Amino acid sequence: MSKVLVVTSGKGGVGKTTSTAALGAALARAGKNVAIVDFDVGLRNLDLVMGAERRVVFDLINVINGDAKLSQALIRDKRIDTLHLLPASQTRDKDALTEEGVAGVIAELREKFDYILCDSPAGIERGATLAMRHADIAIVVSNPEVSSVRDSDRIIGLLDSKTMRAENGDRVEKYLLVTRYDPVRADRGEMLKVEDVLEILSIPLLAVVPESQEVLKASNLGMPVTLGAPNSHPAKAYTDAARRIMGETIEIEIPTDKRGLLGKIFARKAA
Amino acid sequence: MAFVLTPMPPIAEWLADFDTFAKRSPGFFAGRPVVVDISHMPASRPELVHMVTELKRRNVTIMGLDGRTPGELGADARGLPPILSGGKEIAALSQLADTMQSTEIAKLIDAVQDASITAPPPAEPGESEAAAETPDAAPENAPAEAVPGEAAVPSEPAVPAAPGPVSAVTEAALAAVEKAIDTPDPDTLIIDHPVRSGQSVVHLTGDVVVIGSVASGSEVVASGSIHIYGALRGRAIAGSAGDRNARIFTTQLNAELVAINGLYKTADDLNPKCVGRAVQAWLDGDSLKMAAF
Repeated sequence: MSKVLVVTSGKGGVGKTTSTAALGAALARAGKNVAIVDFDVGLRNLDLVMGAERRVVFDLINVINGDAKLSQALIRDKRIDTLHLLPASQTRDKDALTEEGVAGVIAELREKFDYILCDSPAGIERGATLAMRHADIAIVVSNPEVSSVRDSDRIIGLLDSKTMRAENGDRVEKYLLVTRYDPVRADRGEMLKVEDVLEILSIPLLAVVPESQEVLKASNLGMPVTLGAPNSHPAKAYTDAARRIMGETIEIEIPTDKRGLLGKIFARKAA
Repeated sequence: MAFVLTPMPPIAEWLADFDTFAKRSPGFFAGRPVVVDISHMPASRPELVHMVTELKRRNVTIMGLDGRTPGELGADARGLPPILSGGKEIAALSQLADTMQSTEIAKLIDAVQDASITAPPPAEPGESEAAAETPDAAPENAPAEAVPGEAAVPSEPAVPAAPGPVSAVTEAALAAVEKAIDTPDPDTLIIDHPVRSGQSVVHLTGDVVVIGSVASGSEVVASGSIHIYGALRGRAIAGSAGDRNARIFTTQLNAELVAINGLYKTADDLNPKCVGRAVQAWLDGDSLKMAAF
């Protein structure tokens, strides 16, 4: 049974694209058939982070308009055979996304892949609502700071009202992915603690990804961090998150030290 | 008390102003009797019908029109709310209607019966006919049919030639009965999930219970009290339709705004001793009080 995931946040710059790439690569490395779909029409970035920017021929809008077949637009990753990218169009705007078109593409992807990860654009407009429209699982990315948390809260409200599942009286499974977490600054009170974010958003925690140089380094090389620096702490957090998505039960580790002593089991006393 | 709305032409502009006001005070008109002063309106039927329809669409309960005599409108009054006659009667009517308790309604129905028997006959048959045709009078009529002798009454309010104590009581009684019929019993809305930022829960017929938090950037509006089993970080507006006895309860007060019956406090005005604690808020005279449990 294929699952459609949306990686969303409301606020921009919190790490949606990075997380989509890292989770997609981690799921694919575990042997799953994975498609990652860039919904950020006009501001596409997923192709860069995946290192596939030179290989883009057709994009999501071409497929929706019937200019290209889905199989022509999908880009197979050179490092992992089971990982595919459906890029967004950089030259069109998000009005080119149509509800029926997106529904058609998602339905076709569902036939071929185990996991379909939709990278949502920032904001709450058309692009973002269409990206979440068909989701079974939502990964809400939030940084530990108030504006990001409030925007995430807004997005959770939309997930509960604007998705197909919500309209059919069902619920989208929602998980919180805290990114760019710096335990030292959280301890100093310069950042929200994970438990504060959880208390405000009250959805289950998927993982806490520590702030790290490795993420940016890998992105600049066109590598998801789970492939570019597989032994780094962020990569481990993403890999664990991917395993939880696949249904494994693993204890969630909250980063507690800047040198990255990932050891403490998440509890009230954590962080 | 009844509110008097005075529409001014151009009506579209006036309605836009009205919408601005109604948006700022959601539920202000819910269940409130409203009298529309049409003295500034042209006495043309299409305009009046348009204005009344637009107000009804905005859930305004129009008790009657004022500012024109039935003679001025003539046949144009057909299908419009009854034309009230004279400020005094209107005041008595609205006051009575407002203070009326539902338990008193039975007593009043008796009064109506008596009044309808003793009421003088309409001065002009034409006018009473016009009122009897009024579609608005029909729903009042239907539920009242259970009471013998009641059917004749709805023609009363449109009879300007028969003022006096009897007529006033009749109208007050009618208004009360109508109010009891139109206003549904207060009910409680229970929300068993958090209210997220950007969401607005508006419940104008009773209390709201939220099991979960009310997020920053969201709001809960109730005509009755608001109970939040979780943190209140957004806006809570209780007693929005004019209930002074409404209260707000939360297990953790971090509100952006707390309001009861139009009196409000913003986050800056909250007593620091109450912030972050389980709190109730209520009205004491003209001040909004809060106390931690």
